[in-house]
Amino acid sequence: MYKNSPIAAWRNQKSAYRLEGVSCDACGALFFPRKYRCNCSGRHFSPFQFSGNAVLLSFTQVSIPSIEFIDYSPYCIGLVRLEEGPTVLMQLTDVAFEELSPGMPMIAVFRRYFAAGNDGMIFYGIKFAPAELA
Amino acid sequence: MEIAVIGVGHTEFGELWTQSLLDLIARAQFEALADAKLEPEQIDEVFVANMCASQLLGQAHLGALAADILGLRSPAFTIEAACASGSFAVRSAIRALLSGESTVVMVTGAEKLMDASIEQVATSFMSASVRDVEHSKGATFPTLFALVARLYLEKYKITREQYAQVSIKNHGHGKKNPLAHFQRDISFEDFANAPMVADPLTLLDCSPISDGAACIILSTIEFARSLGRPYVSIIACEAAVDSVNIADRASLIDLKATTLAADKAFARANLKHSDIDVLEVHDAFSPAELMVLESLGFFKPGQAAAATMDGVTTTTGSLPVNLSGGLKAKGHPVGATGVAQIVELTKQLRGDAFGRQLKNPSYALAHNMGGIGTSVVVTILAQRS
Repeated sequence: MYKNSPIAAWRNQKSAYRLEGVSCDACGALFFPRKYRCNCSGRHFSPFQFSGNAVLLSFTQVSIPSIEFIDYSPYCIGLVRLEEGPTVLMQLTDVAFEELSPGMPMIAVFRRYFAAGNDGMIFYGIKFAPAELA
Repeated sequence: MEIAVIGVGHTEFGELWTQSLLDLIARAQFEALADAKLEPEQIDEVFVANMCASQLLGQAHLGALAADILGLRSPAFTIEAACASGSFAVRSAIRALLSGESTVVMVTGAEKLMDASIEQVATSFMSASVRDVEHSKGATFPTLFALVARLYLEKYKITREQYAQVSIKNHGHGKKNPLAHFQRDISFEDFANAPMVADPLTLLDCSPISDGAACIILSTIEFARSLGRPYVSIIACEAAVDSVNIADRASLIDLKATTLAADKAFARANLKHSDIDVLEVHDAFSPAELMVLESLGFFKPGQAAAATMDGVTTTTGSLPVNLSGGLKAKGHPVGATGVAQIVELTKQLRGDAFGRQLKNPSYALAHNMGGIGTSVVVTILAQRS
């Protein structure tokens, strides 16, 4: 239906692999991923490295995935609030769905997301795991 | 502003294995033309709403195809706004009439999903999210809504029985709609055996994947009057959008675009909430109907669930919601949904809704949303006899 481009993966590596976002040069607001216009109407941003410490806000389990993830279901996804402020959506790992609860401390880990077929690129990224395991 | 609805067409919704996308478009369009007693040549412009055909069927360029079905050479093109494609097409058609450049326009919404696998449909639906931050992380539409629904249900302490009642109620309504995907009752006991789609949402909390098409013909009031027949008027059609990335929202459970569009629509129509006699709202998931009714301003936050349990939103209640069966029971052929809501409400206001007809409704409201409450259109219709 569309191509998982290695070029796009290369272009997105700082946000996808390192949890790098931006801070607004005008008001200091932090964003992940990058924004084009700040709520303060500022348009200039500098890179900002998030710590990866977070708290779990909401979660669910994917049982009917989209095409790339057919081989991996069921898996958990969640909304986590980074300690610096922004909320992000990521997969949750190293934890069973039944063990998840709101407010659980989480930490960013580097993991595999999916492989684009048998001879395609393997796509990696950030997932969140319970902080107590780190 | 005032625009007339002078013709409506609506195929059955469901798993329509024997019919192609173009078959569905043709049936809805010819039915609307027959209803309006017009010939194709009287249509000045055609607006087509569709989301998935280019991805699932390899078929784009539906505007020209829909016009060609009628042998028409008028301007025609496709509008896409995820699940709100249909109502954004209606809104665009209204603005073509208000500009004074067109007198009679056609809006056709259609979707053909059953030719694809469920994973292909899930993938196509996710093209309405942000690819790099939601889809590429493995989220799907039911799971995105589940993340939001969990927060809403927890905040207002809404019970399993309360949000199940939305689906139970809409199935009861769908039973009286011969065009609905599901025309049978479900009970609370059925939820215990329903497969979990995305905790806290079971299969019975989710609208189905459906095929179908709907078509309306709109005109200026002057043209409608010249026909010498009763018509229904659209007196407001307002829209708003929210951030596509749900994680970027200040509040995850307030449907801000819904509130913005509703406030604008009520101001435009110069009506109060108590003036509205019947609603069709976007119940893609059972908690969505509760959240939408609150964000539209019909209930205070957290209070739609108790009202639903009390029967307020049924045929015999004070605020009938989704008498067509809603997305849950009527079905949800994405591009058709927003147009189909206008068809249903036009039938109610004309007195043509048969087994589900209310007694003399005067005003009706349609709410259609694309994404997780991202792209929203609120339309208000008035009975004119």
